[in-house]
Amino acid sequence: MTASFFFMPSLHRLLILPAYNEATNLPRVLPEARAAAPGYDVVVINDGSRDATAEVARSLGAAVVTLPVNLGYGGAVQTGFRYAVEHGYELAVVMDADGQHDPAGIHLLADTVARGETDVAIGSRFRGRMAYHQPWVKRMGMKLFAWTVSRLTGREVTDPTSGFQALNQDVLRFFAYDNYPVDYPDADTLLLLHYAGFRVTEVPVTMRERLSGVSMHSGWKPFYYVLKMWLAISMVLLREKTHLSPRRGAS
Amino acid sequence: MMAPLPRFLVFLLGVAVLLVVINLVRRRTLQERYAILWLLAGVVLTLSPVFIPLLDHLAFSMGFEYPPALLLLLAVVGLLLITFQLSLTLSRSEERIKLLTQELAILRQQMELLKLSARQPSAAKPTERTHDEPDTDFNNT
Repeated sequence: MTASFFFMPSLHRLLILPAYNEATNLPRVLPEARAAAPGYDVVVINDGSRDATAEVARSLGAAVVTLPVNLGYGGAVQTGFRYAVEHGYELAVVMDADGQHDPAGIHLLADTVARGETDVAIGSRFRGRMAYHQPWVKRMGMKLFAWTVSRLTGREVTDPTSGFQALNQDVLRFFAYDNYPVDYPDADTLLLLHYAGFRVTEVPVTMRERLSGVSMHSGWKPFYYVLKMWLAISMVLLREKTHLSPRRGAS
Repeated sequence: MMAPLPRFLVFLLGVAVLLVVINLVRRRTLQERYAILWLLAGVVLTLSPVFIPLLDHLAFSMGFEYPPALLLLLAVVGLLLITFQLSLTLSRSEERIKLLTQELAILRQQMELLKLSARQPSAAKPTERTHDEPDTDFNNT
């Protein structure tokens, strides 16, 4: 879908909210986000929810893209990227629909990208005010992965798992059709961005407990998460070593 | 040495596998490329009663003290091959399903917008904005 160029506002921005069964959180999260980020178009990627997520989001005035089956977080976010690219948005902010991300961070992230200081701005909960709990397995894993990514990229990364991000159009194109993991975009994705020649910057933001519902990282999942992440990072490194990784502009 | 009855049973099992696989391919329930390994398994089962003395020899010459161990090893390797092929296929299929799902979702959203604008022609007119989607309503309401 093409963007029509009748009139060009300063920057056309999109707020992407991947949502899986978030009908109870959306009535609080959406207006809050809307108040914090006026001038943004909002798209809710309804990831095959079994509740009224789509109806609620629509009634709150957001564009809704409904995935007929549940793809998982990465698949949903990537759908948002595709939507952004096909509609010609120049900047997109991804934010969780469960209320974990303080909408005040939207502008902090987006402006860093809009000023051209970076290609991707990642909201870090560790640089910002800490208001958050994590299972210890995941916390340990995250520390290890953050350290690994920091060492390999030469930039300090404190929160590679953060799903609160702002991306410019180049990165959106890079991720929209390829290069994006299906399940958890994470430390491996940051590494990939680095090797592909994009600049990644962390911006301190506040994160909170979920308003309601079950987080996707609960129960035995932290263990699976750590293993999977380790494999994903190894693979990015291996690809970098064995053949040319997809370079910037190749997309 | 294997007694005649077990040999006959193995032969029957092999024939059954062959028949089932061939029939499934004939009815297009099973694709040829996945049938090949199963057909191979069927042929091996069918012919194995004949080759069992040979296999015993081979096993002893390879240092197996218990000849059926070689048979089991071969069976496990065969099954591993089949499951590995399935894992590969599954990965590729998931990638395709993801792509189709995303494409479908975006197209459906587009279609709903078009339907909406067809019902209210005023909404269809290109405005001064870069977008004529209702998602801009979000900022107006």
